[in-house]
Amino acid sequence: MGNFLVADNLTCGYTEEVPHRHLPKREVIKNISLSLGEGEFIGMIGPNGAGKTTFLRVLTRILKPWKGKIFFQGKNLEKFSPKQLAKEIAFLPQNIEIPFPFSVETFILLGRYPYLDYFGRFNFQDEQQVKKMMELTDTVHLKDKKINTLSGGERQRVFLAQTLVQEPKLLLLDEPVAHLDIGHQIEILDLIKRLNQEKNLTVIAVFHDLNLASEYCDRLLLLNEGKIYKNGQPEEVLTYKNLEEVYKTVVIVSKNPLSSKPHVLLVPQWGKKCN
Amino acid sequence: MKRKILLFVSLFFLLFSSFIASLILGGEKISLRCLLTVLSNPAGENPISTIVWRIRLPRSLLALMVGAGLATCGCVFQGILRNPLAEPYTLGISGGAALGAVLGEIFFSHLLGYYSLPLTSFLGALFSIFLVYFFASQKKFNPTGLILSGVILSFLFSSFVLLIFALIRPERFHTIILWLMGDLSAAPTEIIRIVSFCIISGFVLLVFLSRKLDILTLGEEKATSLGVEPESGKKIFFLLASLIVSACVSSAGMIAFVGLIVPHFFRWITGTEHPTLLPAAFLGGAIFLLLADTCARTIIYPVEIPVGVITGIIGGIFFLIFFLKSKKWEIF
Repeated sequence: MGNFLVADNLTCGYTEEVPHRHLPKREVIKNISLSLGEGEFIGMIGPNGAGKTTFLRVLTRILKPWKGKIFFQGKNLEKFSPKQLAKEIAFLPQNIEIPFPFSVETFILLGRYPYLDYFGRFNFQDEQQVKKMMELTDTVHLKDKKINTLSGGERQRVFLAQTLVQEPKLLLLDEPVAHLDIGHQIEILDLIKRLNQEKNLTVIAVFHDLNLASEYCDRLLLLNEGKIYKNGQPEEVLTYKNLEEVYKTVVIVSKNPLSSKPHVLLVPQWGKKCN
Repeated sequence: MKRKILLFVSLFFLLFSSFIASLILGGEKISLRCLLTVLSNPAGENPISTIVWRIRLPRSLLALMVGAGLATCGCVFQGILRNPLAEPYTLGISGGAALGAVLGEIFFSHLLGYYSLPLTSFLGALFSIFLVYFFASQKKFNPTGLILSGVILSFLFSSFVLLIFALIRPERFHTIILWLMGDLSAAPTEIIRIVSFCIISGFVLLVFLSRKLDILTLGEEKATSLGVEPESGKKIFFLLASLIVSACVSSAGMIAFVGLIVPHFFRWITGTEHPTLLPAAFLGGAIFLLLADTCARTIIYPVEIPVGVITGIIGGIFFLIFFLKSKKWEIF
């Protein structure tokens, strides 16, 4: 707990597309209050539609909160200018479609936008920062390739590099390893964890894979129907009671023999006899 | 960097030579030496001087400007709509301009004379920009909302134009029909001056803002998290590019394909970084339309083919070859 980021009684959601006609608003997150300290690695879990992505969108000001306030480093989030905020908080959305074939290096350079002058020119410092992050994410050899020719794992590393050159203090990741094979999942999350440990980068990541969340996160938020159902260490959150209640399916929780973190096993209901 | 310099040097060279070619070629062929003497003496009273100063020079200048403007705006619209198939007329500006021109011909042509067509079509274009802006704002300026509003209005306007053509005898609209196919010969010199000013100043602003356009192509979520407010960003680009297109359309009619092909070609040559792409497309569009117009005037002289037809034919064939041959074509 700390006051690096404080969300106070946050409510938000989506209006239907046509304003001026008062169509029902769809409330997605409801009265969420939360505080976190610098350097924490927070995992957000919960069923589809629980409000995980919406919460990240509010933190990046893509959505405006309907009620409640967010304080980042003690300052109201609304008080930041767009570029100022982009230097503090970086966001990696889940699906990014790039309609035009940027080269990898140019694409990563665009992450420096909040630091550019009025003419949008890159200077030596920008290029140094990009070089550093390309080395870190192991994307140097992809430099001149087009973004749309990359494999899933390469793509995600490039996207990550773009968020890292923003030099953020808070990194928001929406399912950073969905659709990747287990090798790439570990590679990317190891990298993020390393930045978290070495550079004191605060991370909030949405996970569908409960076991990855359990291994990497210091703290988990279990969201259900727009509310925080449980907030605590993986051992407290990942219990069969909590998970069965929220996900409406049967699970067994055991332990990873090496890390002794909770490990969730799924139990198919198919072919079981009704008692 | 070296590649860029080489590219721009060759583009400038090509532009210069096609400009000279457009002055020399035509019904009356003028030798290079003769052209130089005529150009060095603007007050000359011989027929060649009149042809160069009164006819060819304004027309070439207009072709250069309109080609440059349309190509630049094509890039901008593709960028904000995040759609490589967008072009300057996608958002209904041409429809509004056509309706304005037709109504102007009926109601104001006796008052305004030569100025009727450019003025009324410009007003029509402004009207359609206003409507598209209004409708798209209802949908937070998202690309689908913008395209839909544009296409709907475009259909609506052209239906009205056809309705008027059906009701009133078509001979009266001969100039307008030529204009609809793209016509660089009609604009008065004052209009060319104003249009050039609009296009150049609009272009300078667009280049100044072009890095923002790069960010906008990454989508709303990425744009916001990189410090660009997507809705207001798109509005600025929409308004600037639309004004340039209106200036182009009102002075030269609907010249197809320039705003689609030139941006595509240069995306392939220079990459999709807008600070490089926009100037390259500006020069490339100017060269393309200058050459197309020279062809239109000379191929089957004395008949003049509407330049829009030429750009359509050259453009279509070029596009097809490019599409089939190029393996590096990564846009589709």
